[in-house]
Amino acid sequence: MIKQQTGGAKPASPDKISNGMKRKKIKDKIFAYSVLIWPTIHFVIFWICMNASTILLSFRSGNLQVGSWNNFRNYAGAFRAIFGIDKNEGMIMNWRALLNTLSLIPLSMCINLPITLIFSFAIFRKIKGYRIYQVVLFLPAMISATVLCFVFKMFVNGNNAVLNKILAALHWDGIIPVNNWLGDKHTAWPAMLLFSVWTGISTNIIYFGSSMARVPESVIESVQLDGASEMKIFTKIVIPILWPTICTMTVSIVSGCFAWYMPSLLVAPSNEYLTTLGLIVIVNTKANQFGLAAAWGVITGVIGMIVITVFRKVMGRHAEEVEF
Amino acid sequence: MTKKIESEFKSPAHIGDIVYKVLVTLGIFLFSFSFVLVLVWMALNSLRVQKSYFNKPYAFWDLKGATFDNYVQIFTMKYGASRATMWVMLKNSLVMIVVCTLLQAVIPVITGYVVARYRTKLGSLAEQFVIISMVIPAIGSTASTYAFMTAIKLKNTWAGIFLMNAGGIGFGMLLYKNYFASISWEYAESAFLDGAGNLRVFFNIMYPQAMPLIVSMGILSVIGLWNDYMTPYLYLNSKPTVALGVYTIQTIAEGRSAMPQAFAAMSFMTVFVLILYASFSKTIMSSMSVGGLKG
Repeated sequence: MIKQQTGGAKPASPDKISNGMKRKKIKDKIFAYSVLIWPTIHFVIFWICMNASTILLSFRSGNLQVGSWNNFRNYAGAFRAIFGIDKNEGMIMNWRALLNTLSLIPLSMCINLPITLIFSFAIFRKIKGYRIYQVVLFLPAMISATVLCFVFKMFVNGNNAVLNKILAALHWDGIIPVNNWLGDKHTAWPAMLLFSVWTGISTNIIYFGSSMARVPESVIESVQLDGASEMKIFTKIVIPILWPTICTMTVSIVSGCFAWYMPSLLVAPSNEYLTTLGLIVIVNTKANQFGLAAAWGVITGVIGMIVITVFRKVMGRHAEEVEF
Repeated sequence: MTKKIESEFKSPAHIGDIVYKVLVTLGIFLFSFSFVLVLVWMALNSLRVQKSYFNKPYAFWDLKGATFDNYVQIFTMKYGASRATMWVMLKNSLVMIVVCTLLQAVIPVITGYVVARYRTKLGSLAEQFVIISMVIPAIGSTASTYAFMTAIKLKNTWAGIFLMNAGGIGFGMLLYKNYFASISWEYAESAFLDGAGNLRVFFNIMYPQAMPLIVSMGILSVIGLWNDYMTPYLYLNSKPTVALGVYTIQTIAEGRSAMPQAFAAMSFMTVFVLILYASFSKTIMSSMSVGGLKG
């Protein structure tokens, strides 16, 4: 309606147009900058300044008010812990932190990601009851980590753990480790990994599902007529079309591995076997050990940045190779 | 027809297909079943008496002497250093949810809009910022943010929480930017010709068009804030939210071995999410594809 009216108007003289356009352009600029100024300030303070001051803090001891420059002592301590020069057994700042954190990457890439993709595909292909599965599989992403972690804790931790009681009822309690599942160095971290598989497939199902919805039905129908199996449709059609999405997701998955601390914090924050880089940062921050926390933060940031950049490069290259 | 199906089943490729179908159905079923089982286990345990839970924690069906006392307990007790009741925590959660969700439903939206539709250097810089911030894990700067919030005396205040949530440059901005770049510009253009200002065009014409995405991001934000344990744990200890309260209840319950109380608290916390999710699951699912990740 409006458009018709304006379309019918007589063209203004060229002078007026250029003047009006100029004024509009200036107005646009003022608008754009006045909108952008706050988010920019916010980002500069809460991201750039905070990251910069993390680097400064990491060379100090204690907290902001009291404390002094201690040069590289925080880093020296962190590296001695990471490389196992200081044994530090019984403390969370030990060599397992880096190893545990890094072990999350192959787990989420080789187990969580394929399971998520196949489940999304099955729902996309409308297996029996897919509507229910679609809703139920997304539940862990909706339920608080506090709840999920407590359930897990009740299941495996302590003498009264559900798992132990079930095993006892079956007369299999011989396999329970002496220090219990989370107190044994062989079972503690694997138990945590199982937990992260159990809760980790949820969030991405929705993303992959919505990307799969964009796969043209006609393509699938035509190969189905040729007698292609479900597996073929999955590997030859869906995966190549989804590849760019998968690449984007892998970057955020890897980045998530470096920020992984919640389950450890909620299940057993001082358990030496369940330590991760992120957990050390949080626990030290909460204990007002800002210098130490910052040093571990910088180390986490740098290692994370390197790994994520490599992933982006590798995945990016493959993304260009596969074209549909 | 039946002949065709028979021959399909005989060919070796389709034996693999059957194996795939069985495995996937089994896998999906087991995962889904375990999630539902946990909910049922939690809900029924919240009604049990402590002794019964202690003897057989797995026997959630054993409801001898079932009682709502656990719920009464968690709503009357005072928790933590701030001696807050569940009602106070509920109020705190609601304040945090309402204000932060409103902030997030405006600031990233308008930022994304400007980045998509107005070519400015600051806009493209903002986009670069998002990409950089995705590469460096945010966990690193936790210590200095905490120190900063303490130093400017905004720790343990609402102002501090709102300030931290008032950012516009982030993943959300990118979603909105993609959205605004993909929808028609025609209405806006004719409004401009009619003499409408930039702000008017945004709020009257563009913002309503992004409503589906804003609503589903809003719901996810409500759920995220309701569940968020970390922000109150670090920055709002004196005004505990439900998430922090539930954690406190868990710790107390463990110390006293009064697990059913912890389950009652967790069930209460989960029911809120489930109601929200049940009412909006379609909106969330469908609009994810609207804003979803593009290549």
